[in-house]
Amino acid sequence: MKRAIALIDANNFYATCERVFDPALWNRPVVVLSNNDGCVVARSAEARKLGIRMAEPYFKVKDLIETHKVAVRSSNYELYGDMSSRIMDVLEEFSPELEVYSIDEAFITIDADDRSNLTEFGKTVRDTVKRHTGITVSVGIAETKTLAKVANHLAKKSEKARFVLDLTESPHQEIALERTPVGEVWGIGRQHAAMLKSYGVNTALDLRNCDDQWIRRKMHITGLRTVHELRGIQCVELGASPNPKRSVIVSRSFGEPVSTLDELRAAISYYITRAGEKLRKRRLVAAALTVFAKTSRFNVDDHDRYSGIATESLVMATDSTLELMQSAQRILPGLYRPGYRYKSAGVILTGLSSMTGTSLRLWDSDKYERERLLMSAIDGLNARHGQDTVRCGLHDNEGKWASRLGLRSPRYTTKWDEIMRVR
Amino acid sequence: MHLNIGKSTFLKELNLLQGVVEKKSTIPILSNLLIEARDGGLWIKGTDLDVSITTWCPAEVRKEGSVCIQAKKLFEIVRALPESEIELKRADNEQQVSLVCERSKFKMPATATDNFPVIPDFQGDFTTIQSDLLRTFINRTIFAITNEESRYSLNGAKFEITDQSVRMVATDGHRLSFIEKKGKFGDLKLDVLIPKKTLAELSKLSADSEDSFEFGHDENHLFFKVGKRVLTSRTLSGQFPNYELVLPKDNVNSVGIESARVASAIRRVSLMADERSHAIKFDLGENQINITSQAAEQGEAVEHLPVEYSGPEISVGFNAQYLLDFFGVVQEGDVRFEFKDGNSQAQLRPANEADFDFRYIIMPMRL
Repeated sequence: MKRAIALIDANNFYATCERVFDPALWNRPVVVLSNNDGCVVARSAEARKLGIRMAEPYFKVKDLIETHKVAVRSSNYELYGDMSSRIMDVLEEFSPELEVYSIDEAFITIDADDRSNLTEFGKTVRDTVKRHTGITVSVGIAETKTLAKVANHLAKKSEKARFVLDLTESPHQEIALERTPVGEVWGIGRQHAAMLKSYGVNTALDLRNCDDQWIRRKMHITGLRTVHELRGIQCVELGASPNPKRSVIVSRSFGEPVSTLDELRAAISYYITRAGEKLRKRRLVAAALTVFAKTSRFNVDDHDRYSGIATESLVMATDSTLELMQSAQRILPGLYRPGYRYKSAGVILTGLSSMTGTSLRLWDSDKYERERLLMSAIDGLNARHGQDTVRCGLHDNEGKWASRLGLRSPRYTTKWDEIMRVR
Repeated sequence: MHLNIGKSTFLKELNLLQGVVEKKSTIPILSNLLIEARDGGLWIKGTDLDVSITTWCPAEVRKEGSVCIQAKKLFEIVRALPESEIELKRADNEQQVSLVCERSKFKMPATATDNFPVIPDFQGDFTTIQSDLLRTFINRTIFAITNEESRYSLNGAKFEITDQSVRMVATDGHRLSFIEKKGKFGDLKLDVLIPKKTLAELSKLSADSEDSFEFGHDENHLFFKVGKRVLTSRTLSGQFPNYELVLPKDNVNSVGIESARVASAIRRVSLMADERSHAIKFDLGENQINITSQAAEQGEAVEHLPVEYSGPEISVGFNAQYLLDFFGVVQEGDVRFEFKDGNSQAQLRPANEADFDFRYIIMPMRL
């Protein structure tokens, strides 16, 4: 049986989510800002054409935005996450094998024998997702995941493809690879791209035609897998993405700088709460916790700049917010220096492993199991009634550290009191 | 300083000291050995500030003196020399030590001895501990000590001497190894935590000698003396968890099986276990244990072992590596698996061992 792989990628996902529920945005350029309204993290096609670049600080493009009446939204991750899961639900109907690759991307497998026209299949997927969720997606189809990435990339760019491109056994495959810079090939990082370019390997086609022995010497087995994938030989299975989750990071810049240990403590507790939720959602436990806090890097005077970071190996790998919280409260006083105005902070959980496959604890096993039940109950309540309906008592979400979200759209799909009203 | 010493005599002592000396210490003097020529022989000292070894070997001392020499380089040089006599010499006020053996000649930098740490001395009365007892105790507990340095009080084994017995216990929080020998060991009463590195070095010292150990301790240090060799160690501070709480009392579902047979079955089945968790499953049913494993995208394995068992059916997951650690030290005879149920700690122990009470307690795994 022949098998093809499709990569479905939502177009300008965050901006499109905003548009789905707000018709006033339909014919306007839209940008979405990062946490605390710092930088541009998503743009509609119109905003892109105006020259607004990704990751550009908001204050730098504010004039441009006002001149062209660009709609600005703070990020609304709850809405984007919910819309993402709706898209994935739709995609699951098209294939039993689905790999959610990121919030706006998924791979599915297609039985290529049954699909005489894969382009038509791609169009059906695109139309169905649009009809069910309001989100526009691009579909790239090819023999391997790496080629499907190339196909998807070109499906967005090519006017002829109109967001669906099938490269399986296609005479256009070589042209597609030739038009793809080597640095844009899936799995080729910045360092490998620079190395390849120094040897005259500039495009995906050049890479595909490289000698196997040379690639193996320069880029080891993972590089060779990428080259084989470009040749249409499946080396990366669905669900076996090259970068399994190694850490959970929650960090934010503060709405206003904070100076006291208590304020930092409240912020860190909030981040620990979010990190704990992420761990449990992925059924992971963490073996180490890192906490950091920084002043603004734009402070002119060296004496006003400080960055503190500290790590603690946890006594037992855990997914309990309470245990993570205790560890964070032990770490924080060690890195805190009075007299500084802290602008950002965060927590990093590392040493991740699956909850399934961990040995139970000899001591305090019952206590930990009770805490897990408590966490599960809290997660359930918060999922039903909204984030932080039940929370640990160390943060109130209203300190100076809380991010600015003044431009956030309503959380239409996850909050009863923010649901769209039809007059 | 000027002396002559036989290569093999010198090498044997240098070899013992290699484990103590830190290869990459932040304090440069700690990568050196302090060598003192006196008392008709050569005193050699090495330390990492937590564990120290002082040893002596006979040598022809032509002029007394002392010097610090880079430990690893000295060991490598002596190991490479022919079986012959070595002449070690340092002229007064010279910054180099010369080492001559037959036609080979080496010069090494000599470091001042003033900065070498003072190794604590024990002035009290020593108590005798059988070398083979200590060796067995260490061998059967050291593998259960945690590798996590942050769990300070678990970075060693608890060593207890009471009126009735001597015990050693080690744990990493998921499994625990307990060994006890009944009897009275002089008037000594003891309850200390011995660091893992000390145990490893003691194990080497005891392997090299059938003599008994002389043991002494003060508030912060332990002293183990065998012949002219003295190992000095800091004790670990901190609260070792209450291990008696987790020793099972009602694991009434018991099954006996030949150690080698079950160990080889576990080894085979674990080939298909998940590479990170090493999870395998025991299904205990009437007169049979089924051991299974499965790893995503790898496959699965199953092995059936006939046993005498008529208790309730029990399914329980284990880390295969934890089990193999136990079978690494109990390679012969029968062992008993004792269960309560699939969620409580299991206990393993040799079935017919009269000398020691050795128990290995292991928590099940989430499957």
